[in-house]
Amino acid sequence: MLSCPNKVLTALAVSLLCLIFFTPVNASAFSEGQAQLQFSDARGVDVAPGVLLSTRASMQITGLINQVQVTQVFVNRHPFAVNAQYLFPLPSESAVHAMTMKVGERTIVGKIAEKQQAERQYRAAQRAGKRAALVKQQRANMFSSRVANLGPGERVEITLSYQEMIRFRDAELSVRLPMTFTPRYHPRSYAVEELRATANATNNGAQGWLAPKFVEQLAQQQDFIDSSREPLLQLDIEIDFGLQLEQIRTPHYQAQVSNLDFGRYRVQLRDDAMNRDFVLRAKVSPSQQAQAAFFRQTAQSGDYGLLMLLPPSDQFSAQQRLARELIFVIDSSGSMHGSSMDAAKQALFYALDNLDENDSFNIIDFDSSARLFRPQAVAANAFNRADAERFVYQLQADGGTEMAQALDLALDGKTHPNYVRQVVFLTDGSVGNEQALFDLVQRQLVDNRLFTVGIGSAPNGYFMRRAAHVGRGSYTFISDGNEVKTQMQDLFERLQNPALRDVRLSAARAKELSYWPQPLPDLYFGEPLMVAIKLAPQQQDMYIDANTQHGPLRLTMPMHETGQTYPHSEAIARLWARQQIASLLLYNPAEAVRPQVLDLALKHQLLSPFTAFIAVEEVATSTVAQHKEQVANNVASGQRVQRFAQTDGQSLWHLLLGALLMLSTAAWLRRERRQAHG
Amino acid sequence: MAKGKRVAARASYWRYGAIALFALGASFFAQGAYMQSKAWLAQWLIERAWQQSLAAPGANIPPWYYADTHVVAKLSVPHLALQRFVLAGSSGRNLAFAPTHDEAFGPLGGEGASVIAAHNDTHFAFLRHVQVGDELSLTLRDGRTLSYRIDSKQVVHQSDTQAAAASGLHLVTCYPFNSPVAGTELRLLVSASLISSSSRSTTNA
Repeated sequence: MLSCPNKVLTALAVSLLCLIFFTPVNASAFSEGQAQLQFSDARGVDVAPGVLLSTRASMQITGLINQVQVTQVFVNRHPFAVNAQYLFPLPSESAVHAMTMKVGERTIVGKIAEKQQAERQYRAAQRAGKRAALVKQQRANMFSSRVANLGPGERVEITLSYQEMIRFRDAELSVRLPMTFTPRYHPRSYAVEELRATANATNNGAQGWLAPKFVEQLAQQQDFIDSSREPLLQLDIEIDFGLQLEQIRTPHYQAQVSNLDFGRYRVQLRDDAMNRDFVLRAKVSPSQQAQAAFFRQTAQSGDYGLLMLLPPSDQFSAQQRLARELIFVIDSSGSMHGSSMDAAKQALFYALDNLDENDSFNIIDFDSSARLFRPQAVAANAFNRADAERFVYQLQADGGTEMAQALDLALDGKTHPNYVRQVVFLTDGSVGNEQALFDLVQRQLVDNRLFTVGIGSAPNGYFMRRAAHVGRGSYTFISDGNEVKTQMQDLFERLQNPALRDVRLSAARAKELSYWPQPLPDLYFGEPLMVAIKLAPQQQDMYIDANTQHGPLRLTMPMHETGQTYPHSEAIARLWARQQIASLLLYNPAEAVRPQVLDLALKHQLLSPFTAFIAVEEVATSTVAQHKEQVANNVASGQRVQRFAQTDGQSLWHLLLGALLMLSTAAWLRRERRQAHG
Repeated sequence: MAKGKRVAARASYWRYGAIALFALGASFFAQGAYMQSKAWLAQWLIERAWQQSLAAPGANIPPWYYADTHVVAKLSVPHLALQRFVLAGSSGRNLAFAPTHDEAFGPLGGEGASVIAAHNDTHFAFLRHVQVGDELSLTLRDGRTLSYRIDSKQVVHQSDTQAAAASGLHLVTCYPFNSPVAGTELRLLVSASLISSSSRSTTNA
């Protein structure tokens, strides 16, 4: 009888030992996991991250154009040579027109070449032990740079020059410089070819696609390698707008703004947070606002003009208010989790509060599948709005981004003679199949209008702009809750006022004008027309035609007197070419327009899906690198790195521990009782 | 007498302590038993939903009336003679009931990479026993049965989702197995590539 409690005690001791023994074992596995994160690629195949990268950007905003130089400084802290690569975003409309590589004191000017040819040159240089740099466009707003044979301790600088039209709307100019990506979701219906390309994006050689590699604490990781490194981002902006600006703001970044002279400003920024888009906004006082501006210049390939025109505001007023049906589409996929989802919900609450009693509305929520708030649009009465608020309130951000289903539901492909049907689409646009979605929008638009609202700290700006262009609406960005009110107010102003439709340009006594983008977007209240035109040698007056609520509108641009000469030669020609490339690729299959795009890109020295910049050293002075390393991107603010699900369970431990405790205490109690009785 | 009383009092303190410990043990045991029984009973309900969804392809049949998910596939491991019914969506709640298809990756049976995740103490506890070269088979709701052969078994960090980028079927569970500490950052990734695909006409079972 005595052996029974002994057994129990032994079991108890064993279970305690188990606990004590197993816990530290697991803790060490834990710290190994941490260590892996810091010192090597998670798979343990790559070398440790020892390549530092910092970015310097300088912008000159002159008139309507922003000229930007972005310098990426690669420093190799490894004791051996590496091939470094980096994936980075640029504004989707940027025209990248020059690249240089600086090794020590030598500067090598990069050349534009057909992409495959450039890749071959790069690989040959890599094998020969020459330092080389290759810059490619991987997606419309995703670019990659590669540096071959970066020796130990060496520093190579790649400088890219690009230009873009500044965005001008509601008497506010804005400039955006994206810093990182929101991971893309590749849906089920994704074309097989692209999927293969993505699946094989295992970062091999010059040919393979790169997949972005994300870390959560980029600055800390780099501090770990070199605590006296340069800040990750140094940005210098010079603004020479010729007009007095009010409130230059840089939300989320602490920038120094100084006013140099009348209409001239300098903005400086040193920062380590590469986790959200840099945005600069500045107001032009309404009294100063010009209704039109025209710049012209003579480039090598002829004369070009850049026109900005703000249609008179009375053209937007309606004689009679048409009834509206508003369809709100909200993205509740996993990538929206956190602050993005909160901002999207707030925007929707704002919209619901500001609906007119006479309007009708519906809500579509989508992640892996799409759900309707009501089967049909319902009247915007107090009851339905309250119900809709509950519907929005309970939305959870999880699942995939099956955007096609939602667009298919939202754009009904019908005409609506008695009312205006507007679709407001709130998303971060983290999709990889943009072109398929643009095709869908174009097919099912008919007289619907699509307004995109880009949500989050690093939304897919390319998707927002192009979807709105194809959807004949306009686009807005909301980075977090603080911006909801102002941005939604502007959006509602555009939704409420009828647009100028079918905007066209023509010239007196001439064949068709060559102007881009084409077709021109519909113009909403507060938005100017921005168009680049190739001018004839003796350009006659130009006419701008549009359809308004009141009937056709014709504005005349007299050519003999207007036109300031734009200082940067080739700048407008490049914009013209870049807009043409964008329009060609947007409305045609890529392979069909390849020769045209390639020709334009080579002629105007532009980076495109079919061209790349390559710079190679004359002589081989480095050792052939055996390792490669991709510089990581910081995760966008409010996002987390994509992970496998948490699937550890302690149920067996609970069973074991529970059984041991119960058995041992039961046995002890029994023995006590027996002793008490005995 | 007084001494005897004190001894008796002390003994009763011990008894209360032991009873409390017993209750603690019972709650641990109940918790563990609950997790296990939830996991295995749910499989039985999901199997019923699976039979129904084979009979009605295209319909998303919830395994119980309030479920917000549906069964998407049957995973079998012939040489271990076991099968698991897979639910759509890798949320923590779904994972308690069944292996789940992580929709952030590709579709099951598609051209690209698809990922199924499950707990390492229930549905995917068997993953420690599979070997490179073993075969898996996956039956989809449209009646197709796909055969895969395991070509790698590796431990990766939870953020290394690129490790599951290659075309094929990836089974994921937490690593190490039977750890008493929750929240490990490591995953066991079993990757298998497609070897054959057969479309079988489904009979109403």
